[in-house]
Amino acid sequence: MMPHDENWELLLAEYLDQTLPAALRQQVEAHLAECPACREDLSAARAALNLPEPATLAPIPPAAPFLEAVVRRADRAAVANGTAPQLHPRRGLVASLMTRLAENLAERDQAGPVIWFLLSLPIMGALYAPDMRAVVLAAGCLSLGALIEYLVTKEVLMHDPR
Amino acid sequence: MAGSVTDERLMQRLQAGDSGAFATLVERHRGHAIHFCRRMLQDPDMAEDMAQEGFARILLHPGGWSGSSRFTTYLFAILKNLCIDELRWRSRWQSRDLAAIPERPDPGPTPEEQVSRSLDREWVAHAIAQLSPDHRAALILREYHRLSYQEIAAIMGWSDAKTKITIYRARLALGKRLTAEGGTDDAAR
Repeated sequence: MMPHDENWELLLAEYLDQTLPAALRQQVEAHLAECPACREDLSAARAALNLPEPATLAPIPPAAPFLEAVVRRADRAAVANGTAPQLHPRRGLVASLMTRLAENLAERDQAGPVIWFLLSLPIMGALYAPDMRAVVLAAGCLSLGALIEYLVTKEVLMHDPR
Repeated sequence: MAGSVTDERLMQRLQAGDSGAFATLVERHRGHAIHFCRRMLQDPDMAEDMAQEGFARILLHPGGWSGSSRFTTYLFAILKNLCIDELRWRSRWQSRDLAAIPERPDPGPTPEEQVSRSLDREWVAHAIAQLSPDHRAALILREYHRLSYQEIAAIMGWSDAKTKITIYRARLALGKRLTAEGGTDDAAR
């Protein structure tokens, strides 16, 4: 009688896969003829071969959105870890500065009030300094740029709940 | 993929800073990754989340692949660890929803009908979900992804012998659950 240990389980596994050499296969079959418990186990294990798909698999999402989601996730992790994000095109100096400003402000939860203050400058300038139209226009463009950068980078800065 | 660049070559390019190589790897393997996670977690949304996380980790740390294993081995190892962590987190913090257990199909009068009806998809899914995370991962990789024992051993960090024995035990537990009459849900744990 063969001992029912791990070596025996390995033999049964290979017997099930039909990869046992002939001599060992005959030994296993001789034991199975005498051992109802092993026959029952083998029958149960055989029932779990060639299983159907456990559930109807929905279509795989398209590559481009999936890749974008992966890159966003990697960027969030890189920002959290303080490492450089990858797969982004080089940004210009102004865009980099504006992005850095938006990120710093968002970290301090001050982006909202600051942006609204900057947006209010053109309005206040028009009301109180009508001769400084050039300065007002520059301030308005700067504010709009900060707002756009904040909106663009906002997703990068969203906290991943997991 | 005759004539195309190998996954391992693409990983080397990624390690050298080639972002296009990563995009190609994602395009080739996102299907396998998502299917594996769906089969492990049986939650389509979480499965896609896990697959994204697996690829993101490769992108963040391309140096983590040493080049001594196949890329698919590396990818599945990451996904396996993520899914097993998620399963363990669920088992620790989530109560089982008894209402989610599917109705056991009528076993039928003959053994052949019993096996046939036991292979109802939902029942198979439920039975697989009762396996331990390691058994589940190894069985899914063998049964559905058709990986060799050597590849599965590399993914799981086991010897070839342990891999064969573990998959055999998983089949045994699964088979008993699929064919037993009146078995409880915890019988094969």
